[in-house]
Amino acid sequence: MKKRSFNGVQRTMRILGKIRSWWRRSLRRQFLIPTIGIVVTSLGALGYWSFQIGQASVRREVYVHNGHMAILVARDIHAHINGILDTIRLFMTQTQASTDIQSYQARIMLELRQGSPLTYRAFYIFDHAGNLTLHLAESLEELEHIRHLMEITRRLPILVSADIRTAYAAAANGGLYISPVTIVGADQVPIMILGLSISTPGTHEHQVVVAEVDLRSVWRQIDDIRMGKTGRVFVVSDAGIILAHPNRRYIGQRLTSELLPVTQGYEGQVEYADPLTGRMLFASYTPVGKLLGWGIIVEQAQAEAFASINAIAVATFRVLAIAIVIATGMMIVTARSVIQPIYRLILTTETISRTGALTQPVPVDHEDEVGRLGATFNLMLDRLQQSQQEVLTLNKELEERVIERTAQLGAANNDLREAQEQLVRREKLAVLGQMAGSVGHELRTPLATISNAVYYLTMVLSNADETTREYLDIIGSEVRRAEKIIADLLDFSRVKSLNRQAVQVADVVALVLAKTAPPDTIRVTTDIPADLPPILVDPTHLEQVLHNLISNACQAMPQGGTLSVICKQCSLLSEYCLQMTEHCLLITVSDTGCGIAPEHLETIFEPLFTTKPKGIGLGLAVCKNLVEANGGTLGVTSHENHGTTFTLVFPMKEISA
Amino acid sequence: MNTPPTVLIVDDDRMMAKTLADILRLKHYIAEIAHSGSEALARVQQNGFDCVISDIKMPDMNGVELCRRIKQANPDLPVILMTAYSEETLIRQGKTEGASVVLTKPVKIDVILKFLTEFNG
Repeated sequence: MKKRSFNGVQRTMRILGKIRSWWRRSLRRQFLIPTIGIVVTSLGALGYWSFQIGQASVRREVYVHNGHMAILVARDIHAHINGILDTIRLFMTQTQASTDIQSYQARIMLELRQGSPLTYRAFYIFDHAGNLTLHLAESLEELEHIRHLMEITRRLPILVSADIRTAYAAAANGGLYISPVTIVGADQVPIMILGLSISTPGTHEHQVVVAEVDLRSVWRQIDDIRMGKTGRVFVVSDAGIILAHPNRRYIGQRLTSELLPVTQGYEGQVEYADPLTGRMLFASYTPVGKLLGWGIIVEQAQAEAFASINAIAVATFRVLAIAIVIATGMMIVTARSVIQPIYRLILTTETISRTGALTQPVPVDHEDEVGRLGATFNLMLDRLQQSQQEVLTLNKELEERVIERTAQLGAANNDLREAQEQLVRREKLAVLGQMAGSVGHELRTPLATISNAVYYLTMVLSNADETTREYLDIIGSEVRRAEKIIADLLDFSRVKSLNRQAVQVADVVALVLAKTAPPDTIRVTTDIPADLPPILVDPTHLEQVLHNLISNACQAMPQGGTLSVICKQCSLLSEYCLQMTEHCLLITVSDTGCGIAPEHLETIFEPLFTTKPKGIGLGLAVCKNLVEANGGTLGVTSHENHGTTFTLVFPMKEISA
Repeated sequence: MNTPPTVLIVDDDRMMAKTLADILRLKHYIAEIAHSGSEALARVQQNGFDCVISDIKMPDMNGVELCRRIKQANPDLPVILMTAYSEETLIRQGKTEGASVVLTKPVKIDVILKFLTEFNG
């Protein structure tokens, strides 16, 4: 049990927490709900209060009005009853003065009935001795019967009812007797018995009149009184029995307990439920008088009484509802004007935090606090954007610098690698050169000796047979070939001194071509302008290089072809002399031979590289070394089966110097 | 008939000296051989030659030194120097020391013969 209640508390706390978080999640809720709540409660309270006041006022008015009405009716009823008594008294006075009582009786009856028909059901007159002297019935037809009876009563004491006797007895002492009202017959006729003692003038005798009064005359008094649709007046006897009511169903009914005070002589008002229909009624009551003890009740249906105030209430409610709707609408508009900028601010910050884009400012269309918030935010955004821009710029610069430095580093790396390769090549060449030099030199002396021996033998054996001479020639030519190889080796190994001088390329080319003497199958073309300025090189070096290149070209064309040597000046920044700052001289040696395979182009200037069946592969390496030693460059382009072109480039700036 | 010209061949390489001497003899020169500079110097002092042909690179005294010494005593004696090293310094030195000609190896016999003819001409 305890646990369950603890759970209940927990659950309540949890729900409260949820409501709290729901409440705190939206500014609009915090703004709108209390406002709408206040408006609805205050206007509702106002309406309810007004309605209550209105109802009370209506109730009071109805009570007052109906109270007045009740008093007026009470007076009327009282007067009516008094009128009946007066009529009886007048009748008695006239009766006593009459001689012809019967005709007079009849006339009075008629008069009475003309004024208030059917007021009396029966009429008894007793003499001072208590003898019934007159008995009137209530109809003319009955009159004859009564007349006949009168005849009888003169002779015989008439039989009267106990009520009549009671009335007689009560009135005989000189007072007035009024009986309680009784309802009789199917018509629910209220009957009241009156007893009056009337003294005969000039005598001490008195007569007693007992009248059985038909109170339906009271009905007529109230039947026509109408207040609105439901307002009506009814009369109640001192015994609390309804004796007159516009609705005959109520006649003879007992009065409801709420209204009973009227039978005790009180006046007042009460709200009560109709016992027959159950509907709520307002009733004002007032007693008719002490003599009778009756009460007059004026009642009206609550619904009718409140109809107008209800209509007002409905109208008020409608106005209220419209007012609430309008107020809510205005609140929403106001809330929007406050919340919308904040919401936009939130959206913008969310966008910024999601995308990082600082370029979208918050729209500021208010000058209030929210507007200032937005403006400050935009200012902050600007600053942020500026600093971001700065950071980006710095980053970009840094990146560019890194790229630049990387490129420089790469270039430096390349240079370094090339330098290293060159160094390695040089080292290789140096070692090779040393070895070649010593080997070559050592071989040279024996070769010279052999050469001398061959010379001697050739001289001595001038008459020898042909085969011997042929063999001597073979030895001699092979020795020369060996000497040539050794010469190449020594050329390569030796650091020749540089003796640069102004050289006309055309002369050197002519000399080399004459020395090399290409075979007849090879067509030689030269294109060397006559006005070509001289270049500053060692002529023996240039000669050796050209000799080597031209010899190679001839060897590349065993089936014949065209050898062309072309010289020309080239302009600045040609592809061959990117590093040159002045004009250059270009010498190309081209053949139409077998060409060089692309994979060999790279290594063609390496020492010990050769594609020839005979040769140790130093020729081009020597050429390159010599050209570079003279400040020039040596390059090659080749198309397999189409030919090869070697290109020498020498700078010309030093000539002018 | 004139006495044939006498030529002293100086070379530490005996085969080289011998073959050259034999060729010159075939060509009717009187050729003698010295295998070192000092020997050659002594022979020159002793006999007197029409021409001296010397290798430059030799163990005890190189050809240039020999040439200088010979020229001190016999300024008119033509000296032909031969070297396997076509090195300019030695060639230049030889020329300054009064050598008639400096030949680089491989020396062609015909060239030597041409010079000898010229000297004795």
